[in-house]
Amino acid sequence: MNKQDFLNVLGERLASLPKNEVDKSIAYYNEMIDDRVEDGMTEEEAINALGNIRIVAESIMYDMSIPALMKAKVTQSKGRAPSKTVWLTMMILGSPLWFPLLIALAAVAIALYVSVWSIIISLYAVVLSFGIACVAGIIGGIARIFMTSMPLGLCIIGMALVSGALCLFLYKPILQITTRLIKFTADSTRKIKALIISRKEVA
Amino acid sequence: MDVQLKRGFLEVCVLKVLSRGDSYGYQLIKDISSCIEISESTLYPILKRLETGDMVTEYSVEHSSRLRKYYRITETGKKKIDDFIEEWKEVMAVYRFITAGKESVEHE
Repeated sequence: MNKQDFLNVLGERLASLPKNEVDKSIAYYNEMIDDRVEDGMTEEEAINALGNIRIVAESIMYDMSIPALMKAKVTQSKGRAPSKTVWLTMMILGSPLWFPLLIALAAVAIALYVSVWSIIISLYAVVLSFGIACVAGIIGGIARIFMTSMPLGLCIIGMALVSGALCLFLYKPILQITTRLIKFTADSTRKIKALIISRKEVA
Repeated sequence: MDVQLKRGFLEVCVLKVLSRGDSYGYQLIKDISSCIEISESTLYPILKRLETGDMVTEYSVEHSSRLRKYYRITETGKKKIDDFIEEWKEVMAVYRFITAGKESVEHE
């Protein structure tokens, strides 16, 4: 093998490295061989003195740090901004993590929303039931007076009126509570949106 | 000798040789080989690392119609030699301690 063959094979083995690294390595070994020849060796002897070309190539490859090797790979993909590719890769790789989390958060949000509305509905149902009880009681009471006994009928009317009173009594506070609950859900939704939007702007 | 340990030694050896004056690859190998075994493929990464660490600088000189790369030690490089000597003072003390003990046993 002569010097040029040696350098060519070395260049081939180093092909995956950035060009300037390959050129530097070839220049170094070119000089080494020339110096040995100048010292009196033949080209063949000089090349043998360098040892196995595979080991020569490996010593160059392994000396490159992993970040340097990765950087070389990235800059080789001409001009594609590393940050975008890295970001996309991380998004995809991380999706097993953030996707379930996102779903969990969404589920919690929905659950909260549903429970708030259930409370509102049940409160109104309470008020409504008192109202219905009042009306039903009065009708039933009057019927009782005329059908069976006066005292029972009057009793029922009495309870109906209490029910009616509770209905009117509770109506206003429950209305206030439900309004506040609705406002609360609206505010929370807006706050969550603000978090996401402002994050996006920062990012 | 442990590979990492040897690599560290070789770095300081290269620096020491350069502290005596600028030199080039093949000459460095000849000078260091008198103390410790070194090959071209071992020297190349060492020179690269010394250069990235700002311990040596390189320049080219024309020599019989080709370019020869010369290396020069920097202040950082000189400091590295001093640090090495300091570090190894303690190692030498331990070495003497261990070998002294051995000798007295042999005397018995």
